Amino acid sequence: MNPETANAICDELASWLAAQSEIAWSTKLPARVPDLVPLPENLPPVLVQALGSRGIKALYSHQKKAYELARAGRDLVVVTPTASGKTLCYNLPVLQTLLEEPESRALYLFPTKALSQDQQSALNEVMLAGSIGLTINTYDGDTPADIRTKARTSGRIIISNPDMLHAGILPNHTKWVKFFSNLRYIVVDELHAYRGVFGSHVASVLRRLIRIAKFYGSSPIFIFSSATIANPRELAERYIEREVALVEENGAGSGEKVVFCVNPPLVDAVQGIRRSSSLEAESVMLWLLRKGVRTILFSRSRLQVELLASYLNQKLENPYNRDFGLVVKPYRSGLLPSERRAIEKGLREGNIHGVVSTNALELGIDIGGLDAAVITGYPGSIASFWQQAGRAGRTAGLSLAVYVASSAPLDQYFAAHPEYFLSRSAEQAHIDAYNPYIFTDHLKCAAFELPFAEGEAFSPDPSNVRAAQLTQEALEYLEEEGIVRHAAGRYFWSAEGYPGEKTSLRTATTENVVIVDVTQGRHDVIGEMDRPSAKELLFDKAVYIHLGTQYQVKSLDLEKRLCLVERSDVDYWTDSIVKRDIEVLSQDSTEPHGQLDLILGDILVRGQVEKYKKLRFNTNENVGYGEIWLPPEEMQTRSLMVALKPEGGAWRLLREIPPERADGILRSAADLVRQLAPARILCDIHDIGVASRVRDQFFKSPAMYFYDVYPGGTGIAEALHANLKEAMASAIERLAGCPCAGGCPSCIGVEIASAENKALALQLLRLLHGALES
Amino acid sequence: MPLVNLKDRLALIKSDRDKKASPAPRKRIVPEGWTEIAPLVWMREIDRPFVRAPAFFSPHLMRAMPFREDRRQNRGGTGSQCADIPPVPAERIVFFDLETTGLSGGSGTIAFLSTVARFEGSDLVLRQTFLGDYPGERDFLVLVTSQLEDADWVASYNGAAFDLPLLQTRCVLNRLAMPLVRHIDVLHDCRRFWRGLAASCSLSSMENLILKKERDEDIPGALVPGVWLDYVKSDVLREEQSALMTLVWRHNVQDVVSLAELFLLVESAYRSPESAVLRYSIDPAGLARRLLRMDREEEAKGILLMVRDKAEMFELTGDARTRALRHLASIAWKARDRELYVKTILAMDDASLFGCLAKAKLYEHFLKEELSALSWARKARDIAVAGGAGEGTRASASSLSALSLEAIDHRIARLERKIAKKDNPAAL
Repeated sequence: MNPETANAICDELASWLAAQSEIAWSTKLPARVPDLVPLPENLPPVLVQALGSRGIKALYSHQKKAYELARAGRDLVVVTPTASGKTLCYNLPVLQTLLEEPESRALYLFPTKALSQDQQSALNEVMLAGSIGLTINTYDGDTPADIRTKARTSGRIIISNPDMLHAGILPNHTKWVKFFSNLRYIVVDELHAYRGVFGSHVASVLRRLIRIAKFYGSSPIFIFSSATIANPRELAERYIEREVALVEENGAGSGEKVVFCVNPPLVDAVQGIRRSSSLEAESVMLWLLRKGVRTILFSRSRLQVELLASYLNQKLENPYNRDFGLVVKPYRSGLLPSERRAIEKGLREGNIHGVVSTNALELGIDIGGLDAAVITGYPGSIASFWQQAGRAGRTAGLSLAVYVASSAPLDQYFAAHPEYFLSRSAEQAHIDAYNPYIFTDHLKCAAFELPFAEGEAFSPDPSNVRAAQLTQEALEYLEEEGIVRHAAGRYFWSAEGYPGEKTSLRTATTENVVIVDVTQGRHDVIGEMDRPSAKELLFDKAVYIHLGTQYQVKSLDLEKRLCLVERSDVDYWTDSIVKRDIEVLSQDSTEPHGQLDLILGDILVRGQVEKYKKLRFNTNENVGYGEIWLPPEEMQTRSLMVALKPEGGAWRLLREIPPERADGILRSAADLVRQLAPARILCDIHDIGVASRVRDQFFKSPAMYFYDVYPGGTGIAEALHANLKEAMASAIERLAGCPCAGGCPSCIGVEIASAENKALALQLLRLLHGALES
Repeated sequence: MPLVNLKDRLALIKSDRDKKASPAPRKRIVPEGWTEIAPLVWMREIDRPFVRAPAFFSPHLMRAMPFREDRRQNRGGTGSQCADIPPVPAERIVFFDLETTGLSGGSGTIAFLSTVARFEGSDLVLRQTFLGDYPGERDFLVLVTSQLEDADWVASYNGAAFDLPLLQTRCVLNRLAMPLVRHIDVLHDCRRFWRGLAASCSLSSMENLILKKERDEDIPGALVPGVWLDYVKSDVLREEQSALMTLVWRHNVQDVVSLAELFLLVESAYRSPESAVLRYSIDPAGLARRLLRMDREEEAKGILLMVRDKAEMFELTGDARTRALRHLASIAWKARDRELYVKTILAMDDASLFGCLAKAKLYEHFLKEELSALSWARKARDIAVAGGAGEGTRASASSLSALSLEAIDHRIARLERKIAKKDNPAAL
C-alpha cells in the first residue's frame, strides 16, 4: 500500500470498526528510520555482486555488528523482530568464510523441516543471483539417499534440524569426517523455539555436536538468532557455556503500525454476550481484502482455519469478476508439504491475497510482507502476539494489526487495560541443560558416538566441575546397568542397538494418521494428522475440511493409522467434546508437612472424546449430537501432588466458602505456582500440567496436581518437589505485590477476579507455604 | 537392555557412591590354540585342506570395486573396467568376515572378531583375530587391516554394505588409515544368480541351498553381539560363557569357509557359464545379464540358447525360463536378428500368460497373421481370467499393465476389427 492510501484505509477502518463493533483501544507504533551502514570493505566481490543483484547496497547496523563479531570469532546471538534482515546477519560472515576457505563447512539448524526448506531456497536465491557456487544441502528425513551421500562429502552448508542431528548425523559421524573436520560455523536459528524440555534436549544435542567436532579438531563459532524473548543472551550461554555477544539493536527501518483492539458487538446486552470473535475477525478480514489490503488472519485451531477460509471464499464468490480477483487460502499443519510450499510461494509472489493460519506461520517462514494482520484472541504469549502482528508490514509503510478479543476473561481484561497489555514484556525462556533424565539419555548417545574419558565433562566447557561430576555419576550408573564398560580409563558403549532410537526430542508422537480421499473409487492421500488430534477431529462421521474442500470421515483406523474420507456436502461441521481426568496410579513417596502431604507418584492423564456437536455453517447453530467410540488418549506420567489434610487451616479455609468459589481459588493458586515455577526449575510453562480439585476423589480432600506433560516424566515433578516452597514464596510475593484492585492476569487470573477472592487466594498460599516451612 | 524405571534411575543417579578407581583390564587365560599378540588381542591360525583350490582366480571377471565410503560413485564398476587386470594368483586374494556388537552399524558398534583366509597351496589358511576387551581395539584393527593390506583382493559376503564401512568407522575413531582394497562382494552375484531360488540370499540360506551344507553346532548370528558383550563385562567367566564364545569363533570360521566356497562357485560361473548354469541352478537370465555388461555377448547368448533349446537338461522353474527367453528375445530385438527373435518367442511356454501374449504380439505385428494372433490373445485371456498372471514377470508397472485383462481385451477387439476389415474391406 502506498502511504496515502494506507492512511486513508486506516481511517476508514477505524470508522467502520467503530460503527459495526467496538474499538476497545487503538495505538500507533511510530515508524523507525533505518540505520544503514556501508557494506564491509573486505567483502569478496562475488558476494557484493550477489547482494547487489538483490538490491542490497548497504547493511543495517545490527547486520554489520553481527558480521563483525562473527568475523572476529565471537559467538553471538541476534535478537531482532521479523523482517529485520536477520538471515543476512549469519549468511554474510558464513558465506565469506566459505568463499575464503575452500574446505570449510557450516551447519544451519532450524526447529522444523518446513523452515529448513525455506532457508535453502532463500540461500539458493542468493547463490544463483551471484553465481557464488557453494553447495547447499538440506539433510533431513525427507532427503533422498543419493543426495545424502553427496551432502556428506561435498555439501558446504548443511541445513538440518536437531532431530536429524540427534538420530541421523551424530551417531554416524564417521561418515562425515570431511564435514566435521572443517566445520567453522553453527547457526542455530529460532532459538526461542528451543525452550523447556525440548530446549534441554537440544542443549544436549549441541553438546554432543561440539564434542564430535572437537574430536575432528574443529571448534566452530555459534551464531544464534531468536525472536524477542526476555533473556536471549542467558539462554544462548546456557547452551554453549561460554560468553555470547548480544546483538539486539534493530537497525532495520519499519513503517508505522496501527494496532486496534476490537471487541465484537454485544448481541445480548443484558447478559453481556458478544458476537463470536471468529466471525468478527472474518468480517474484518473481508472488509480489508475488499479494500485491496493483503491480510493474514491468525486463528487458534486447525478447524477454525479451514472454516474461516471457506467462509471468506464463499463471500468473495462472484462469477462476474472472478471473485474480485481475490484468493484466500488456509494454512495449517497437516497440509501436504507441496501444498504448504505452494501457499508460501503464492503469498510471496502476491497471487494469494489472504491467508488464514494457525500459529504455523508465526515462525520465520518467508511469505513476504502483508499489509494487515488480524489476530483472533490472545495467542498465549506476548512474544507470539507481536510475532503475529509483525507478519504485517515487513516493508516500510503503514501496516495494520487488528486484535479481536474473544469473550474469554483474559481477552476482555486486555481489552479493558491497554496500558497493561502494551507494557507487558516478552516472556523468559528457560532450559535445564542438566536435567538428570535428559542429560543421562544423551550421555548414552554420546558414549555411543565416542567413548568417554575418565574425568571428562559432558559439557561444552571442559572445565565445568559440576558437569564433570554429574558425568562421572551418570557413567557409573550406566556401567552398573551394563550399558557402558569402564576399562583402561575410558567408558565404552557396550550394548546392542542405537540409544538414539529410544530418545525422542519432542513430545509429539511421530505416528501420524494418513488421510485418504476415497470418493468414487479414488485413493488419494490428502494429508496427515497426529494421533491425539485425529481422535478429536477425524472420528467416524466427522466433517473434515482440507484446503476448503469438505469431506466426511468414513472410517478411522487407529491401528493402521489410516483415515478414509469422502467428499460431502452436509451443511454442518463437527466439534468434538473432550473429557479429561486424572487417576492416581502410585504414591512413591509421601512427605507429611503438618496440614498437607507432598506426594510424588505416577498418574494417568486421560482425555476421552465422547460426543460431538453438529454445528451449522455460518450460524454455528447446534443441529444435533453424535456419539464417538474411540479409545481414550492416555498418558502415564509423574506428578507432584499436594493433598490437604482434613481440619488443617487450608482445608478449613476452602470448606468455609461455597464449593464453586473454592474450586476457583484453589485452581488460581495452583495456576500461579505453575506460572512461577519455570523460572525456578528451568522449564517452559507448557512442560507443566496442572489440575486441582476441592473434592478430590482419590485423596477425599482438596488436592493439587503438578505433572510432567512428557509421557513417563522428565524430572519436572521431582524438580518441583524440591522447589515447591520457593515457587510458593514467589507466588505469594507476586500476589501480595500485585497493584491491581481485585485480580488480574498477573495474579489470580480474571475468571474469579474480586478483591475478596484475591485475599482468599493469598491466604491459602500463605497457609500452604507455612506448612511447607514447618 | 535392562532399563529400570525413571524414579529408580533418578535415585541411582543421585545416590552418593564411592568413586571407583579405574579398573585395570582383566587378564583372561589364553585358550589353547590362541596366541596373545598384543594386550587383549589374540590370534590363531586354522589350516583347512581345500579340495578344489585352483592356482589362479579371475576376479577381474567379477563385479569388483575399490572400497570407498562413497560406494555410489563406483556404481557400475563392471568387470570390463578391470578387464586389463591379469588373473590373480590364488594366494593374493583373501576372504574376510567380521563379528560385531550390533547389526545396525553406527559409531558405537565395534568389531571384535575377524577372520581373514587365504589359499596356501591346496589349503585354506584362516587367521582369526579376537579382541578380548575394548582397550585393545587399536591393536586389533592394526592387525586386521594389515592382513587385508597384504592381499590384492578382498572378498566378502555383504562387506560392501556392512563389514567394510564398519571397519572404516572403527579406523576413523582410532585414527588409523583404512586400506584401500579391491573388493568383491559375493552377495551381489549371489543375488543375481539365486534370488529366484531362495527367499533370502543370506549366507546361511546360500549355504543350505547352493553349497548343500548343514552346520551341526552353531550359534545364530543375531545372538553373537550379546555373547561378546556379556563375555567382556564378566569378571569371572562361567563355563557356558566360554562355550558360547567358542561357538562364536567357530561360527565366524564357518562363515568364511562358506564365503570361500561360494566365491569359487561364482568365479567358476564367470569362467565357464554354461556348465555353471547346469551344475548350480544359476538363474540363466541373471548370469547372462552380467555377461552382457562385460561385453561377453556370445556367451550370454549361448546359455540362453541352451535354455531355449535344451530345456530337458535344466531343472528350471517356469519363471526362470520365461525370464531367460525374454532376455534372449530382447537381445535378438536389439541386434535385429529376426530369426532368433521369432524362434525365441515361439519357444516360450504356451501355458504362461506372458508367452501367449508375446506370441500374440509376434503374430500381429511381426508375422502379420491376425488369426493366429487372435487365438493366442484369447488363450492369454483365458489364463488371465483363471488368475495365472504373475509368473515370469518380476516386471515394471508398465509391463504389468500390458498383462492386465483390460489391455488383453483391447488387443482382442483390435485384432477382431483388423480381421473383419481384411475379410470385408468395403464394410468399414
